[in-house]
Amino acid sequence: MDIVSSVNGARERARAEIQACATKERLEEIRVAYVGRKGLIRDLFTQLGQVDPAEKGQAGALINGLKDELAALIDARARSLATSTPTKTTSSLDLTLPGRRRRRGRRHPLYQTLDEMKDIFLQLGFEIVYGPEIETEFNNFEALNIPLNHPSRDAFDTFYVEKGILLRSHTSPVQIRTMMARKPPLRIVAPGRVFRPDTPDAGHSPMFTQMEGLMVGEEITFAHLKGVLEVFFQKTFGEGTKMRLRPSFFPFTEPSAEMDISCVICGGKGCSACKVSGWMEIGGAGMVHPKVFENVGYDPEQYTGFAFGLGVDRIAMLKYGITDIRLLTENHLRFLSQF
Amino acid sequence: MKVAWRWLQEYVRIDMTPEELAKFLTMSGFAVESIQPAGDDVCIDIDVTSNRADVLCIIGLAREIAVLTGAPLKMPSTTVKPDRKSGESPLSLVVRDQRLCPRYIGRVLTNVKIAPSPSWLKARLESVAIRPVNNVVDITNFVLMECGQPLHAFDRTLLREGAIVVRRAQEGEKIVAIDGKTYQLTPDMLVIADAVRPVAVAGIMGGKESEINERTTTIVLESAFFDPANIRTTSKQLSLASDSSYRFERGVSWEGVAWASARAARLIGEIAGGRISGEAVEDGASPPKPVTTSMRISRASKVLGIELKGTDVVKMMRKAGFAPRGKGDRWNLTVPEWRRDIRTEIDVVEEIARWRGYDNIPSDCALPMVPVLLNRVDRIERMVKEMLLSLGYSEAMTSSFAEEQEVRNCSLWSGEPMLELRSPDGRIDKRLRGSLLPCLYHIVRINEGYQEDIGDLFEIASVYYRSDGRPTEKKCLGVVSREGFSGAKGAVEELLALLGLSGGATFIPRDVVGFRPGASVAVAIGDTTVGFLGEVSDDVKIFYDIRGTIAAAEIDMEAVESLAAIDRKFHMFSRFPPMRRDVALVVDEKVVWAEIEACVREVSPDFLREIAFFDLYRGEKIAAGKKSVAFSLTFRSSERTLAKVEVDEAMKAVVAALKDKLGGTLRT
Repeated sequence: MDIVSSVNGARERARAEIQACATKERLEEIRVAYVGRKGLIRDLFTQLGQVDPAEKGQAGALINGLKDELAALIDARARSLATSTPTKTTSSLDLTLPGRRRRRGRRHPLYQTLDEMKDIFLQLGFEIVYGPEIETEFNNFEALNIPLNHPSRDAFDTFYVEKGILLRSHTSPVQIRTMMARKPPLRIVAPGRVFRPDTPDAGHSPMFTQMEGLMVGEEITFAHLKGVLEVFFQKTFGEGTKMRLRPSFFPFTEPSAEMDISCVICGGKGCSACKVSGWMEIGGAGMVHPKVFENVGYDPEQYTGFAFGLGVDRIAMLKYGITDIRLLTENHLRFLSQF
Repeated sequence: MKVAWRWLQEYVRIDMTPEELAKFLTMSGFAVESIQPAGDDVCIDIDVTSNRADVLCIIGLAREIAVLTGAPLKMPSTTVKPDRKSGESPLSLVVRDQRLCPRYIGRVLTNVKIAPSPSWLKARLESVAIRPVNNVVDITNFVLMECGQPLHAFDRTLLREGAIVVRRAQEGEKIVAIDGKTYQLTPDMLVIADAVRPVAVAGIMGGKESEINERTTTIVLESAFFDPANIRTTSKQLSLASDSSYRFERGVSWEGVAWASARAARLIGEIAGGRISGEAVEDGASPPKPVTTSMRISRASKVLGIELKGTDVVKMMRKAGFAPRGKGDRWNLTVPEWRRDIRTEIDVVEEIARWRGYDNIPSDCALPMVPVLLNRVDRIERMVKEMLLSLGYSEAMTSSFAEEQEVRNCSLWSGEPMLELRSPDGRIDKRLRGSLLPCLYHIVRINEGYQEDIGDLFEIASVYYRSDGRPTEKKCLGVVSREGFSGAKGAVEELLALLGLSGGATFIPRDVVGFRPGASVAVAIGDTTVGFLGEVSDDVKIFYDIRGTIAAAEIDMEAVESLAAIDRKFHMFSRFPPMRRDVALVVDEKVVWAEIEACVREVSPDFLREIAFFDLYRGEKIAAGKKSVAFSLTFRSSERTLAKVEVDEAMKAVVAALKDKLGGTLRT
């Protein structure tokens, strides 16, 4: 049979069928019949073998041309069917079925809280620095004006790794490292893990996270310490949060203070969470002791500064209402999925 | 420390209810822990910081209240009338070590009748939770609570030769204390001895042998100052502490030693019938010189950030007993002997702040503006965390401690044993984890125990190990995937791509502890090993009782952070259409993907842009010992639309190379 007339004939028939086609299924039948693996086009290619070698090239080109043309027509028809006919599904869609939810990775509330705290201090111009968890006895105690054989040591029990080397019991050693590495003025916060041999209970863990703050300059005052802390607590716990400083003792600050915030549960009226006082202890602070400046090579006459230590676990627990610190390291799915 | 509201008022007027007083004390630096009724009185438990030993007594607190409120302090009488005709031999007293005991006062009292205390005395002791014993013991406890000076009473007849020697213990000496236990003594420890043997561990606890009993009629009353550091060391060595040692460790008042001796002697005379035999006998060093310091009012203003009126400050200093001398800005002060916490100008600045009231110092949040950015390490960490969260990995926080049994907590980075931790009591019962992965497996196990599927996990935190003998820590990323090796590898590949490190990264097969043999790799960037990745080994899975697929990776974040390239720069992308060809290649089992990929690349032109593996098939339709690897090739030029023949040519070359080099055939 003449290839040319076969091609033309196929073209006419296909066009008609495609034009008349009204459903996706019918269009698919047409596609298979003409352009499919066992379809008409393939047959035509097979017939090429019987064609005169001189005319093979032209015939082949014709068949290819038909193939491309049909493919394009079928495509166009498919598009117009899709846009003009509303798709009738064989089964109706239950719109009330829950959606398919992808599993979302959860942020840990402690690290989340820590990032928020870092952001607040960044906005106040504080740089974020880090120090090692395995520290020297010197940086953890003596440099901070805590003599080794002294009752004030009792408040800072530690784990020793070997002689002279321990796990830091507070983030204050980072003050020493930072001041020894740079000249004032400076404004830094230093978050990280600290370790104390405390008996674990709902409020205490031998490992927890602190954030140290330090600001040193020529005109830094106790009033600035109060100001910065007030801003931080208001941003963390809400505009109405009050803060007070009351006298206390740390060997590395003078004056020293305990920071309390108005109870986040009762707003300061008094409840069981704040032992009726209306206030919650949240950390320690004070003006850097001149002896500490001397230990790091700063002139205490020229420079003053303040420092503070915040308990990140405590802040996270107060923010989210978490009742037991041990939940933070248990990582139970029903805990993490709440955040 | 417990004080009583009514008892306090014997020494200073307090126009406050117990609750008001509690608030006042808290805001003055003495946090109130509890308020409880105690008989007729109210017991207030306050937290006294270790620098304020002077307030570890009722009079000390009364003195502080007097300074802060302006009320006068009322001190009880201590005049005593020694009986010179008692016939009792005078006390022989020698202080051999004057550094460890700079002041010792001994008083002999005769005619003492041991009996229960009068009810007022019992009431006073009970109001601060001290159990009454007998009149003499109760008087010593009363005076201790009243002025903070620990006293001890010996039965003189039970002291050999009725003498007191204050000396260091000799090697081998021991003592049975009043708690009934025997203590071994060493020459660093100070003892009170009689002519023959120790009768008390100085400043800590008296001996049982010379203890006051019902038949005692003659007592030796001890009042002394002991070196604080030595008392502390001895107390720790013997694991023995008392209300007395607590105060000696913090340093008692020099004057108080004499005051308390007279006060107690007077009370023993009044209550127990005792007659003071002769004068008090004293030995020791000469009294310490008064401590002076100077201070500038301007300095206090500068540090506190407030304007101070010179006259106000000087008035307070005078009231507090500092005897200020000077004028204008600079003043010389004599520190009251009982204020061991005040030595330099800055200590006086704190006093001024306390007198003023910390809440009367306004806050100032006007700080100079300073441009500050999140540092690079933090930026990278946030990027990595966000990426892992978006892949569905949840963030865990695990403890740095390793349980004893989990020796598989060894570090992947060092072959040395784990770091052990010594607690204050000397025991080693904790170790530091060498790897994050066991901690994450533990989380999977906890959750599976509750029948919860926690899914994939990650954590960025420190691991600890010994490196060249030195304790070291390293910040690592730990990742656990429930999708097996390819899941964990996918996460690591995403991480490397995010940080611009894909180019130089290689995954080198290596057997790693904790991973299944033949199912783990080391991750390297250039020559640096930056991590390990693999399927969790069977014995680890059994130990953690984890069922199902699980793979993990630990990456050295410090190394990765230093190598990361995170600056993004736009490159114009090609608009010309790609052409994709799929290949299903049947090869011998032993042919690995890397070989197939390398073979394809080698013979392919530049416009081969991507080789993407997508399936691996073994089964009925494939010959034994062979597998079918399916992948797609994407061809694209940045200059023109590729012609079909060009791609066909390229494919021909690919198929030929795969056949020649790897014996691979196209699957039909």
